[in-house]
Amino acid sequence: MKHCIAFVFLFACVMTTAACDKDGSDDGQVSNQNNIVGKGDVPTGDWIGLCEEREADTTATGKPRFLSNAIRWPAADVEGVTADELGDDRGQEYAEYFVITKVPNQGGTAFEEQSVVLGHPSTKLDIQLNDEQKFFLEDEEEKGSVVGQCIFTSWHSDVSGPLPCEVDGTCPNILGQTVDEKLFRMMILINSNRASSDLVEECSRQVSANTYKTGDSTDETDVRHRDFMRGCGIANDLFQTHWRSSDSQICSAAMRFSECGCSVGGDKSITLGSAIIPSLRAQEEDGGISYRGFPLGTWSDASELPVGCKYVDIGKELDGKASQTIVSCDISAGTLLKRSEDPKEFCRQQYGEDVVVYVPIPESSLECDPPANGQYAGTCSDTPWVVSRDEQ
Amino acid sequence: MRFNLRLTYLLLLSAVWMGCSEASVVPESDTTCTVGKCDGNQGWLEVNLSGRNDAIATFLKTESGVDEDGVFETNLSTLQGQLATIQGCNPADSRNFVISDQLLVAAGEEAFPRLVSTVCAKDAEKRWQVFLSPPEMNEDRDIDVQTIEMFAWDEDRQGFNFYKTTAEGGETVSMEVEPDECVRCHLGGDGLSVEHMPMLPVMNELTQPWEHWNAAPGFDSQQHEIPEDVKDKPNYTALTRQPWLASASELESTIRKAHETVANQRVRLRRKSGASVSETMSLLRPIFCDEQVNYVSESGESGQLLMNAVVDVSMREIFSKLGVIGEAGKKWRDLNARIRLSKVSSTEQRISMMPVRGESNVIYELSLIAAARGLEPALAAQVRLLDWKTPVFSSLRCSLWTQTDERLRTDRLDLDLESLRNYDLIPILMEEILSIDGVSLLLQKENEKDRFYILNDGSQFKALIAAISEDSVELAVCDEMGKCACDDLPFCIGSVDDVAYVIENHVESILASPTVRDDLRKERNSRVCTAKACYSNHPFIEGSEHCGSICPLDDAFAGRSTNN
Repeated sequence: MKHCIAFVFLFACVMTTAACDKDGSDDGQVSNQNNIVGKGDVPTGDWIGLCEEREADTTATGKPRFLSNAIRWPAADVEGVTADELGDDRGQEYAEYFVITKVPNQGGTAFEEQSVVLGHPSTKLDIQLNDEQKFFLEDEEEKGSVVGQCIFTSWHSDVSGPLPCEVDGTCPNILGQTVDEKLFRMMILINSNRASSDLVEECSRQVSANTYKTGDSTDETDVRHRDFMRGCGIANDLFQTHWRSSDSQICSAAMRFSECGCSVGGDKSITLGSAIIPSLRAQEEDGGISYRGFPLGTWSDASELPVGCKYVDIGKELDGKASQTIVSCDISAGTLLKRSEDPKEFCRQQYGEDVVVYVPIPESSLECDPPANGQYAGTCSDTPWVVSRDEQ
Repeated sequence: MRFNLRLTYLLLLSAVWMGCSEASVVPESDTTCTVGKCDGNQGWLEVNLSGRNDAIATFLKTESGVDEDGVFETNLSTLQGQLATIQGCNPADSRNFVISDQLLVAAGEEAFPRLVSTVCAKDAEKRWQVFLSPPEMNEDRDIDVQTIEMFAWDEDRQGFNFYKTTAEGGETVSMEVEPDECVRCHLGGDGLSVEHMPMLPVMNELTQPWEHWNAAPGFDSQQHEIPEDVKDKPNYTALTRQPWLASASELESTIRKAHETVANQRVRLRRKSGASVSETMSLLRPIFCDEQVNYVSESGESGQLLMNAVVDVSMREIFSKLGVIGEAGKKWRDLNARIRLSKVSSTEQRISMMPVRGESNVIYELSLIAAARGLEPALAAQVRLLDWKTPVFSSLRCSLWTQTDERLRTDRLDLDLESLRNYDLIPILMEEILSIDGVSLLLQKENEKDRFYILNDGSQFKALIAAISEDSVELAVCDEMGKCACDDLPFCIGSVDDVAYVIENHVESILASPTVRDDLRKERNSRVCTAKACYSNHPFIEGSEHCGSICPLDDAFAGRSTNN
C-alpha cells in the first residue's frame, strides 16, 4: 500500500512539474480545493500482465476502443482500483464519478430538504440508515422513486470556471446542488488538460527520440512486437500508469502515430498533443474554453448515453457546442437502500462501463508518411492510431 | 398446416421463457372460475381478466376486439405497437432482441432465431413491464408472428401476468390466460417447492458476451448465426430492421430492472403481520436453493470469464457489507473481477454456457440483506460459506432448507404467530435451518468480530458437525502474506478477513493450474448436465448431448437427506 501511495505521489509530482514547466503557471491549481492525488488501491504487479489485461479489454467482444475518429474507454475504473480504509482511488480514467442523493429524515417520514453528496473527493463515501429510513426507502422504491443521481464528470481539473450557464444564470441544479466548478470539476490532479496532452506528447516523443523499448520487430513472440503492448510498455516505463485504460490506449495510439510518420496537415511542428487536446493557452488565445474535457457518450454513439442517463446542460462552449462533460444517471430508492455503504460503486458498476470517455481524433487533418527505415513502419495502416483491432 | 414444434416446445426457453410439458403450478391469482371458457353468462373478458391490471389485460379489454371465445386478430408487430400505446410510449421506442441457436430445431440442423420484444425502451420505469416472444417457426421457415407468449406487470398485484396467443389461421389468434406451460418455467428448479415464489422473466445468458444473442450495435455478437434463407424472410426482416433491432446489452439491463422490482416485492412479504412459517421459509429459500440459473461464457478471444464462474458473486457484496479491510481478497472482491485465461484461437476452445447462480437470486438476496429487519449479512455469509467451493447446485445448502421446510410442516414452532410479523421469524427460522441434530452452525462473535464456519469440502459436512460438537474445529490461521492453514483443511473457523484470503487463495490456485482451462471445462460440463436434468427452462447448450436425465439435486429439492 505504501509504495502505491509513493508512486502515485511521485507521479503527481511529475505531472505537476511537467505542467508547471510547460509555461511556468499552474492553471487551475489554486482554485481547486482539496487537490486530491489519489491514495490507496490501484493495480500492482508485473507490467506485462497488466498490459495484457488492458489489451484483452480492447479485444473483448464488442466495444472497440480505437476508432479512426476517436480513442475511447469506459469511465469506470479498471479492476483493482478500489476504495479502502486509506482512501478512494476511483476516478483514474479522465473521468470522476460521485453521488448526489436525497436522504430520509431520521424518523423515516420524509426526505430531508438538503440532498447529500457521497463519494466525491471532498465528501464521505457512505450513508448510515436506521430501520425507519430503510422502511421509507423501501416504500419509495415501490413507487418507483428516483432519489439520487450518479454524476460522471470529465471536466478537466485545470480548466477553470465559470461555466457558460453561469454566465447567463441558467445553470441547473441537481437535487439542490448547484452545478458549478466546486463540485462538478474533476479534482484529481492527473485528470487534467495538461496531463493528457503531456501524455500524448511524451509517448510520441519516445518514438521520435528513439528512446523507447521496441522489442524485436521480426519476432512475433516478443511481447513488444504487438503494437498495444509496446505502447503500454511506454506508459509503464515513463509513468507506471500502464494499468489504466486511458493511459495505455493513449500511449499506444500516440506511439503508432509517430512510428508511422503522422503529422497534422503535413506540418511536423504541430504536436499531436495540441492537435488532439487544445491547450488551455491556445483556448484562451482563442477567446475562451471550447474544450472543457473529453466528451462522454456511450458505445453505440458518441452523443448518446445509456438508458437512465442524461447530459447535464451547462450551456454551449465557445465553439457553440455542448461539451458533453457532465452526465447524471438515475439512482432508485431501492439502490440507495442496497448500496448505502458505497453508492458510488453502484455508479461504477451500473453505468460506468457504458458511460464512455471519447478522445476525438481529427482524422481528416492527419497525414501519415511512414519512414522508410521505421522499425514498425511496415505495418502502418491509413489510420495507424487504431491499435489492436479494426475500427467499426 | 402450421409447422408443429410441439416437441421442442417442451424444451424451449429462449432466455426469457419457454413452453414446458410440466405444468400444474398456477400462481396465486384471484379467479372465481378457472381460466378459459366458463358456462353461464360470464363473458370471456370478465372470466379471464377480472381483477387484472396489466398492459395486456388493458389492451384485451379496450382495443383487441376479442370475442366470447377469446379470439381476435393480431400479429407481433401490431400487438407490440398497441401495447406501446397502452403504456403511453411511442411505438418506435419498441425493441426486438434476437437469439439464435438450435433450441427450435433438431440436433445438427442450422440455428433458428427467436425474438424477445419489449416496448417503451426509452422509459426507464416502463421498459421492463411488457415482454413478448414468438417461440415458433412457421411452415415458411420464418418467425411465426401469430403464436406469441407474453407477460406484463400488474400494478395492483405487483407481479407479472402471463398470456399466450395461438395461431388459428391468417391473422386470427386465440388468447390463453396464465397458460400452464409458461407458469412452471418462470419458477424455480423442477422438483423444488415453488410456494410463494414469484414468476420471473428469465434471461439465461444474462451477462456479456450474451452467447447466441445479437449484441449489435455497440458489441460483437458471439455464436449468433442467422441462416441465409431466414435472413430474407418477410417476418424476420420486418422485425429486425432499425430502429427496432437492439443489442442484448439493453435487454440485460431491462431484465435486471425486472428482477429488482420482483425482488423488492418479494422482500416486502416480510412486513406482513400475522407471521407465517411457510411464507417466511419461502423468503429464505433463494438463500439456500438455486431457484434460477444463469450461464456465462468467455468473451470473444480475450480469455475473460466472469468471476462468478468460480466464486458466488453475492459473496463479494455480502463481505463488503461486513467490512473486509486491507488487502484481503482484493482480487475477487473487486465487483468487476474477471477470470483471465489465455487467449484461444478457436471458439471450440472457449468456456461457454457455464451455469452459475442466477442473478435474480443474487439480487433478491442482497435486497433481503439490505432491508430493515431483513437478513443479517453475517447469516447470509454463513450460508454461502457452507460448501462455498460449489457456488451453484449445492445439494448441501439446499437440503438444509428443504429438510427444515418439511419438518416445520408438522413440527410447529411454539410461537404466537399472530402477534408477530414475518420478519420476526427470519432469525428464528435461520437458526432452525442452521441447526443439525442440536448442533448450531452459527458462531458467536469474538471481540465484536463476526466468525464463520468455512466448509471448503461439502462432503465433509457431517465431519464438521461432529467437530463442532467436540469443539475441535481448527482456526483458519492466515499469515500476513495471506496464506492460511485453512487452505489445506476441509473446514475451519475464520474471521471475515480470513474468509477473504481463503477464497482468494482458491481463486489463485485455480488460475495457477497449468490445466486451468481443462479444469474449468470439466466443471462446466458437470454443471451443464445438472442444469439440463434439473431445470426445464435451461437454454440450448452446445456439447450437452451426453447428459443424462436424472437430476442430481432431486434429493435436495425433495428434502431428502444428502448430508454425508
